[in-house]
Amino acid sequence: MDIQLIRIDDRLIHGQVVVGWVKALNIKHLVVVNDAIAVNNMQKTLMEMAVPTDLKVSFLTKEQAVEAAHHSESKDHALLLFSNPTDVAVFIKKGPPFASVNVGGMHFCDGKKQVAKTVCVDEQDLQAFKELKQMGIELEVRAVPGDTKEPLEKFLPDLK
Amino acid sequence: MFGIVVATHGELGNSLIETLRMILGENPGMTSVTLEAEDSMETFQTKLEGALKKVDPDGLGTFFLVDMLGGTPFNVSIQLARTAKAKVITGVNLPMLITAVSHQGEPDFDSLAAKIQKATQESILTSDDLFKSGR
Repeated sequence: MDIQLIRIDDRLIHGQVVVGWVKALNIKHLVVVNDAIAVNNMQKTLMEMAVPTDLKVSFLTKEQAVEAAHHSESKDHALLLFSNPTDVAVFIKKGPPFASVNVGGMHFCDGKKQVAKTVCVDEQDLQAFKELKQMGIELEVRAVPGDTKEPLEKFLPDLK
Repeated sequence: MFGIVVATHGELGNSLIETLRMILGENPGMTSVTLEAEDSMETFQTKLEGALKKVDPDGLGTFFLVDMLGGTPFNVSIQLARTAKAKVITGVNLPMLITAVSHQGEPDFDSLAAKIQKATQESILTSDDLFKSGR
């Protein structure tokens, strides 16, 4: 797989992804990286229904995703979707080098602090972002491709 | 009477319902639910469940008319349709909503989704179609 974008989005596959990012980056393969969903057949079926038939979708655990990123021979443009930054940090540590992470949506705010319109974080998220930042990864907030990239540091001064 | 919930990104659903009111008047059995940029899936699901109770308090059956296959309004309503007596139809537009409302009082919930789908598909025409058919 030829990874074009790594995105954090707790809605995973939805309109902004299927219509926005897939078209803009000519994505052929959507990869949902989530340990719980990878073993939940009902969730997988529902998500597959939501995707146009010419788009390939995979549901992988973090381990499987690392494996696939290193060894897959496909040249298809891939978009990796994660529901949280902790999973991304695990993937980036073990996977092939990648320079940037798109912070698309972390909407679930119960018990979390809202730092931007579509970004809520708790202590664990903050730690994961710090870790990514220390690895030199760009963290950019953007819902859809046409938005201007905003550095996550702007909303989370603790990261600086 | 069956319930109708128009579920969309942003204001689209509200506007469709508003427009329909202009044409057909008040209807307690229909409402809209809009997904805002900052809504979590959980927030949206709560809104949708509230709408379901409002339009179909007796659980006779509800149609979720959603804007787009694969969008969050679709993703959440298809989950609800697994457990509630509800069906999802994608690609909502004014002809679909009018068709759904006109069939709202019919007895056979199960056959209605296909009927609404067919009527909506047939409502999309080009001038070429119209000239060819000699209208």
